[in-house]
Amino acid sequence: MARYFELSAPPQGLAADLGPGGHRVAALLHALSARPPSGSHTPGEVEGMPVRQVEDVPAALLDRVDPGWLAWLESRRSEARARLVADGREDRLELAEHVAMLVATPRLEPAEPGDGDALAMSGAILWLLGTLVATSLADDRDDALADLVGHGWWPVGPVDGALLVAPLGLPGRPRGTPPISRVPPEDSRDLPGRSRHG
Amino acid sequence: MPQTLTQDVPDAAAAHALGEEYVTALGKIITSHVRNEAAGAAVFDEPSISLAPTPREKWLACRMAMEEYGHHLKFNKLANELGLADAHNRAPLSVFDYQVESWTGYVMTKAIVDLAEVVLMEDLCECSYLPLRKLCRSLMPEERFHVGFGATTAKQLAADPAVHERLRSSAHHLIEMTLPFFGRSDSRNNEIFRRWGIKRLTNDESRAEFVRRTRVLLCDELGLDFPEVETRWHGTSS
Repeated sequence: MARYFELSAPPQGLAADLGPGGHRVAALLHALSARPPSGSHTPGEVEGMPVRQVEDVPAALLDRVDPGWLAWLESRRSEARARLVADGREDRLELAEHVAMLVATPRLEPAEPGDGDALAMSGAILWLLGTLVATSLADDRDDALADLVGHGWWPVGPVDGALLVAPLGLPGRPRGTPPISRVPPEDSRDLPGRSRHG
Repeated sequence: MPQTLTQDVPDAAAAHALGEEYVTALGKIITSHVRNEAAGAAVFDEPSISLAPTPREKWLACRMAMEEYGHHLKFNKLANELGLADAHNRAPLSVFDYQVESWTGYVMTKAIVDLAEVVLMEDLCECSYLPLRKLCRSLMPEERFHVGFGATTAKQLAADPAVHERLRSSAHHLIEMTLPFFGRSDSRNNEIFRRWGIKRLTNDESRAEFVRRTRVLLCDELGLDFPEVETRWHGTSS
């Protein structure tokens, strides 16, 4: 297996090295490393839930994410990993996770070291990426959550029946910085959560 | 002990120019970190993600696992630049035999085992080999956050009488398991490290600093007693 210590983008030939689903992993990581501007696209609905954009994800909001959804993601991750191991592709999974970690960790670095909220957001995104890497390799099919990440959004999870999405670069944003406004102030009555479609 | 090296060693070529003993000594330090940072991520951090009681704590555990793995890679890069043999040929330290079976156990590994790492790394922040000095200085904010997370969360847990005994048991066990982490009292390696300016402290001085800080944590901050321990260690007989 190739030995990488630092990467700012997926290495040349990663998709082929990974085999089935590898092009999806590579696309996910290219999108992440390209720092796409958030807000270019969000679907109206994902998995039957309206999508709601938020500009910040404080700890109190993070703790309100539906635990059932997190458990569902956890089981998807475990099942995908188990299938890859059973198929003799454990080394491909390891390579994909290694590259994902190298590409994503600097991209998700908090602006202030020791900012617990930003570190928690960063950890949540890293965990989600680990899940999407495994499911992309194992399933090799379109995935609405991977699509959101590909467009610069972090699917935070369902809160009060809506799927919250936040800018993928949020952990790196200096805390206390005013959120980037994308809607007129009169529509921002629900900040930090703001419904776009619901 | 002969005079300590006082000059800075800017890169791998300069390290090799100083001779085999210097490179071998550096190699022992660096490859130990390569192994143990990976072991910490794999044995303590990654399995603990699923033990976290809240999403926020789960994500923090995930972030810390990635940081520990990142530290492993950064030390591995240094090893590679120095042309060192594969660091994975030897087993990680015995403290990684500790089985994390609960969130409380994990929290205490961050407060105690990561504190041992901070004590060692603080010494290396003055190392004569500049790439290692710079790396350790760059990693200190993350390592200190891990320890701070462990200590802060342990204080919250200590407020619950139902968790008190589990907290105490984990703390005592981990402190006893971590003492050998600093090496033997009569270590020939440590003498060489100090002669070459790689380290400043003896193993016993580092161990005593670890004991001092963990005593503050347990006795002053968590309201626990401190295990009877020696600050000298002469190795196992096996």
